Amino acid sequence: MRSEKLYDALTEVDGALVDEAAAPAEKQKKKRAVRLRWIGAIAAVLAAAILLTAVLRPGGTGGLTAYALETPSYPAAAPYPDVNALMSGGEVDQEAFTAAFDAWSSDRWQRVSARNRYSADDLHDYLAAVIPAFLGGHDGENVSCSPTNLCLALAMLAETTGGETREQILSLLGVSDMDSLRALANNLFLANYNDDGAMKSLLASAIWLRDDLDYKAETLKRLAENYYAASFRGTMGSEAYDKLLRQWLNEQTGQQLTDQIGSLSFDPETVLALTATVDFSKQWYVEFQPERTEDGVFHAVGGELACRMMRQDVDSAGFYYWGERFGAVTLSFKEGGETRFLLPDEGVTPEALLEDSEALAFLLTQNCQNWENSKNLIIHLSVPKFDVSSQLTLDQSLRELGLTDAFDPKTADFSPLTDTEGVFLSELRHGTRIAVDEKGVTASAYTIIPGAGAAMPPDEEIDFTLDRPFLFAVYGEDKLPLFVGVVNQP
Amino acid sequence: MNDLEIIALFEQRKEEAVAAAARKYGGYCQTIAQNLLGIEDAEECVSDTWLAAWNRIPPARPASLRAFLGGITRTLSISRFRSLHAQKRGAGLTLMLSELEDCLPDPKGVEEAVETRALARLLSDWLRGLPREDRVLFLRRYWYGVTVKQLAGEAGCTENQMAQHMRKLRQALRGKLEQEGIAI
Repeated sequence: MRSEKLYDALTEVDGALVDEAAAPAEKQKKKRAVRLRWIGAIAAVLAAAILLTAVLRPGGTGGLTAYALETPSYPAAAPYPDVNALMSGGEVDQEAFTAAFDAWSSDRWQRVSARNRYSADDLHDYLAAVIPAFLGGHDGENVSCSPTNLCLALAMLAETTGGETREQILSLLGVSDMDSLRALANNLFLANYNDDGAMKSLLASAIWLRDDLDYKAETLKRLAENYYAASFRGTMGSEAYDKLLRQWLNEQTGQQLTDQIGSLSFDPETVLALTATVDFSKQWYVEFQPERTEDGVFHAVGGELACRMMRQDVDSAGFYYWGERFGAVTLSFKEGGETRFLLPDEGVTPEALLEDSEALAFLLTQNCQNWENSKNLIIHLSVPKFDVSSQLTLDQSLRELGLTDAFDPKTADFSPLTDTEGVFLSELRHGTRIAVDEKGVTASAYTIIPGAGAAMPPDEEIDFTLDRPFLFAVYGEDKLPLFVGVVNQP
Repeated sequence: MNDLEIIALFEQRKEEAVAAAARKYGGYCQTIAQNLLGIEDAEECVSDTWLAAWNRIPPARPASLRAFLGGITRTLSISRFRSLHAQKRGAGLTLMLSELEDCLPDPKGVEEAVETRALARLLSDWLRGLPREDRVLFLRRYWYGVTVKQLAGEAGCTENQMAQHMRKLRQALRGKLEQEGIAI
């Protein structure tokens, strides 16, 4: 009987879902809300910032101030209902709770709708080009980047440029025209923008103009509307403008990149700069139990390193994926999204994997379920806790990917933004920090019972131990790689 | 006694493990088995649950002991149902399986079979994408075997409204399975 097959499969759905349904939803609403107190529990903290700087060949400054020209209206993200604020006479006010829940649910629906208006395939060629280009050539070092972040920065750059300069950007992004790009950037932003108290994924962009640069207000308006970009104007090289820049970057990255932003300042010759940031933190769907974390050894290129190894047994929902030269597992986040860990085979470096078309295909597949080489196994997973930062200068890589005109004072065309001639892009810096750990909910009953229980343990098991350099990619709900990196030293 | 302590007893091969699990989750497993098979056969399934758990832990180390034990009860219930071949004795399960037929795409033209666990994974993903209320409703009906009447009572709607809603959920699942090209 076919329905029995479905029954069997249902028996093996994720134990966390089964636990959730043990009582009617109404009763559970209270329970879920109570969990909010523990939302500080963070499994992955990630931040990225991109700074694109353009200069004017002749140079020259004036003015003394730093101020905002355009401030975008960010999308609404109603907070996840806070039961503590909804208590009335010792009981949860159900009516108020329902209203708060519906508001949250409605805003979440906006994000889901935006996500459904594009697919990872739309950016496949761009991702396949930039990931190896940015992460390659850093043998032995930790390195990471945010392709989504860079995509938004490049989209803004396309909006401020014209002619062949713009065409080269569109070509790299694999987008045919500006209308398509605006729609894509807008949806990408909406799908990834959320700070409802239960999770955080915040994107932000800004354009920084030198005070004596003439500018076209309609372009700044378009940047605010389509890219949620703020516009600032001030004296390049002045302490006030530098301070504003650092303050803005620190705020947008949740103070995660303070070391890298540190003494960042504008060169007096800069005429305009674009910044794009991501601030992201999410909890694992099934958290690692802190009491299982132990001292471990990581076999780095330069020798053995001590690390703290987190352990988890992934059973019913555990899938092991493999290719010619790698093995991989995925770990889901609460409320969607996942991290994929790719462990190169012995003797293969993560850098070599970046050049491997099969490994790249695995990173870019929207749905791992469709990956041919996969097997449902009990996975004894060991992941080192890591907190890696990297600072990249991407100018040369982008030139090699065909983005040449923007960097050349003779060919750069910034006419949609300004009538001033001779403006060109001088540098593009990209900073990221990614921290992955098990913690969060110490001393909370809700974490002691993580939910990956299996009804029928599979016959085969595998140890998947990330104790040598590996690749990872963090995906938002849209299954686009928000961050990709190589951990050589956890 | 908390779940980690119960699991530790199983791992140390101490028979108190069974008593502790039965004390804590006996009612839970009994409800599942009773929903699926009726009172008559439920008790035997539940007592078999503890033996099966004893045989599986170790090496299994369930992240959720409750879902692990409930899953065993479900598996034993369907086995018992199959062996009985007497559908009248498992009226609840018969009805539930017949409803689940609605979710299955037409097999014509679809050749590839999908392994149960791959299907379980797909079901988990589909469930995670549902609004929470629907996810809980679906699993209460088709994992726990709670009757439509009882679900209606819990949700404060009529049985007919609940039946309509469940049908929509089944159709949604059918759509998902068709979209994924799943043949069962």
